[in-house]
Amino acid sequence: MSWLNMLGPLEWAILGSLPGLLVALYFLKLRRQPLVVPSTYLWTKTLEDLHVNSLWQRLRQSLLLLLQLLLLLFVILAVLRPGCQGTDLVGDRFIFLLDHSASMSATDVEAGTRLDEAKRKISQTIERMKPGDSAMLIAFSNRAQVIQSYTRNKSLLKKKLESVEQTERGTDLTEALTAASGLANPGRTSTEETDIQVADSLPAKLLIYSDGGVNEIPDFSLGNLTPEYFPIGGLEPPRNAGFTAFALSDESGADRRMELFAQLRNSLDTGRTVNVSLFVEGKLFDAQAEIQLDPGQAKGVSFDLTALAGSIDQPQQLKLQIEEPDDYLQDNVVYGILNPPRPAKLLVIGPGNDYLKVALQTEAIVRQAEVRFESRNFLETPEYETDAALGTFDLIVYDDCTPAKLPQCSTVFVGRAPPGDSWKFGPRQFPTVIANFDQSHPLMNSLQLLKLSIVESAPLEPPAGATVLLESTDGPLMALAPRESYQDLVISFPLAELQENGEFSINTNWPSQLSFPLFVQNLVSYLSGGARYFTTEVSSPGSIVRLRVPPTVEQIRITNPANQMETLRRGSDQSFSFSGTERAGWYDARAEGKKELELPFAVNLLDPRESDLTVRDKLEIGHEEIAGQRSIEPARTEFWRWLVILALAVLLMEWLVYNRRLAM
Amino acid sequence: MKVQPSTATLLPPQLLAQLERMELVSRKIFRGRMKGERRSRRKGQSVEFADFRNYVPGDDLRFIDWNLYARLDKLFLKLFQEEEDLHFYALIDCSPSMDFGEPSKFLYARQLAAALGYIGLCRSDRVKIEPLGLPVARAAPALRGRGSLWRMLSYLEQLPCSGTTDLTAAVKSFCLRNAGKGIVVLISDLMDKNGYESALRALIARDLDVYVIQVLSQAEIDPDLKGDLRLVDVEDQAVTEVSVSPRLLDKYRRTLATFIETARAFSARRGISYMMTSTDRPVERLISRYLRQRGLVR
Repeated sequence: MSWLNMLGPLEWAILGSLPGLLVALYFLKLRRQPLVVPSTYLWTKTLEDLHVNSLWQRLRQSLLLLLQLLLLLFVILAVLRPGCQGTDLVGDRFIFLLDHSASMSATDVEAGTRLDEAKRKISQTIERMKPGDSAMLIAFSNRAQVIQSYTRNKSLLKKKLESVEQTERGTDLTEALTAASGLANPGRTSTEETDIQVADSLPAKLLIYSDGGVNEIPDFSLGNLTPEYFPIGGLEPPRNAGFTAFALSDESGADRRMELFAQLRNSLDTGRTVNVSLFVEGKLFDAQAEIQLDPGQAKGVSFDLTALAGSIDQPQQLKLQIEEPDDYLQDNVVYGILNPPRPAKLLVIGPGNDYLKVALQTEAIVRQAEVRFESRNFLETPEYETDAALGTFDLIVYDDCTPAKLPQCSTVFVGRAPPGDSWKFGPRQFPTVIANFDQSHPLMNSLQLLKLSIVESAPLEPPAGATVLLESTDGPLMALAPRESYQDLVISFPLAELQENGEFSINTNWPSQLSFPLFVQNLVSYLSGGARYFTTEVSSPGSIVRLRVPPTVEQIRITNPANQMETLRRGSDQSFSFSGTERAGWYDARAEGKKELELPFAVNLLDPRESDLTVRDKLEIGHEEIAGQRSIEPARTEFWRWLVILALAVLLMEWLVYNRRLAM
Repeated sequence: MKVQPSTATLLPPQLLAQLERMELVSRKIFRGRMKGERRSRRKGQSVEFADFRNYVPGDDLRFIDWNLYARLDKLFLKLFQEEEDLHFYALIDCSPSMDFGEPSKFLYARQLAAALGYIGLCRSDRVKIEPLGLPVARAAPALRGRGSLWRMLSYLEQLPCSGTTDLTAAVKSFCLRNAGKGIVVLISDLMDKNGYESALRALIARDLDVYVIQVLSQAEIDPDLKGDLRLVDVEDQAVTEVSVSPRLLDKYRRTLATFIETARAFSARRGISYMMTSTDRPVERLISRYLRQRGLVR
């Protein structure tokens, strides 16, 4: 039992003087009504009899006073707000944020998985909700899903809670917080004169059940949300070693090595030894035993797949697996697809520059790319438009010409700026003196350009984020800039310019140097990818995979790791987008067209944050730091309402006594 | 007999007719001074035959039954019921406490005295109304005969309710002034703080046939009081403070019942006929039923 003082000294003085005042009033008050009677003889005799038990009489006389004093006592006690620790929750509106990201599948808790433990805790909290309390349930991974909007129905909440399933996604709390604050912090419409709140804000208690492995949320104001964070996870540090990175590397050099790289990380604070096996099409292909992992450290492993890559004509399913089970199994396996080599597709549009033609027909390039030459008129044809929109080519070289808009592939512009405002050419300068070039960049690998002579060139103004590869004393001459998943290379000087008489005038001596064919070769292998084995990048669960297929393909059938088939049709942007990548594993995609096309891809989480199973003891949201608590703070059970009811009952009794005295 | 309109409050005409058929009865044999209309247990001169007895010399020859003498040759004297008059005293308590209630106890007492007095007048009894507590000069003269009704009523009408409060002293004063035997009816509320017992003893000592009629108002029998009150005695201004509660009222009723029972027991032991009546009970009903049962009238 504890007391909360509600009043200040002055108010206490006033309240404390009331009983004395009441007693004083009671004595002053007793002004009896005079009444003439024929004789007080019998009354005197009656009172004489009654005086025998006069003490009781006195009490009876002052029963009203006693009741009034009792009433005051109850009021004073009620003002003191007695109470004790109860079981009800504080607040009347709750938002449960349930983390069902991949790391919640860790089994370092008693209840089974961390998700089960979180569900159990939420269920207990729902049980303790008072009648009239409302709650909503949001499950979040790297996206948020409102499982149940505000309701007072506890059984519905529990039913919906049970329906939340484990995902294999990463964690992003931002969307969940945005969804939660939608009702608590309604938006405002402001104009210059007014600032109007759109709706009434509904403050709520935000109960976050997570292992704390969430992204940083620097700019988020909780506003009317009162956050509480309940870390879910075992008390002991979890045992986990897992893959955090995976790559297939195609060294498209002369020796054509194909390697698989993976990064292993041990999140345990003691060292650990693991065995890693590589399976190809379900059969053990290679293994590395006794890999020593230092605590908290990452270590790389690599497998040579060159022999395998050279001998396949079908995509191969790769699986890399840690043999030792631990608390979190999802990151113990990583999936990959090894595609048979496919030559890159190049399109060269220009006036028919022989230097380029010659350079693109060397043996090294023919081995890894199919090159097609077209005149500048080809830009006007519908075929070009379709190919450009669908990304049929891996690289398009625009020699002294500009398309109406940039195609869906990487580009090289020679002597002309790309369409749009991002690239700018300055006025042509004569002569051009080479000042510097970036020899470390793969495109400039093994090139010697300082002896290059250029007649005229326009200094470039590349967009932000571009890499300048070649610079003259007047400004950049060659720059590489990323665009979506593509790259644009712009060379600001033409190799040769077509004169009005139909002949080419030479602008540079570069084509006659040894560095030119090497540069073109670098261009093809770097920008078009060369002949690639690993055609699709590794996607993470929940991400959208775009499949590039020839325009003749009408639909694609995709079979997910659970053997469920889905048929994709061409979207409004003519591409195929697949969003059903909920689970890690191999996805088998088959395009139906004139000939069947296999486009398998693999989905892996590979998230170091998810693999780090350490339970964070606090969350940082915006500028607020929320310390984790193991159990929810119960509400104080207040007794003052009962005291007020008692006081009212006493008042009623007093009224009855008063009336009985008068009525009879 | 024609009744004055002002007397209607004391004796309504229909009551008069009813009362004319009644007479007062005494449980004792008194020798009246004058011949009245009362049949005495004594044999005497009247028209109603009672008995025979042997003639002894000196008897009035007028009462010898000559028919019997002719048949039996013996002298028998015819005895007749003696009819005689009776002293009837109505003592009315004139203390201020009687002027209370609705109707007031004093009015009720006067009505009762008038009714009983009228019965006496009709039977040629000597009727005397005695206001207790008033100065001796205000005492009524002894009345006799139906013709005296008017005098009796007008006397009662103008009787004030402002006498002294000492019942014993008033009764003793009455006893000293009136020597006649007969019936005395004390009409009072008996609410004398010095007690009513000595007053009644004084009456018994006079060897009178005593009737006590205690008149109480309904407000005294079942008081309708509320709240915290200061009760002021109308006679001696004594103050009693009470906080009325059901318990107090209950106790009061029990005290009243005890008081009545004590009075009844006291009276019974001394041959006094006691009766308590409420002012709510009509006078005619009191006389025709209750007093008849008690044997005061028939």
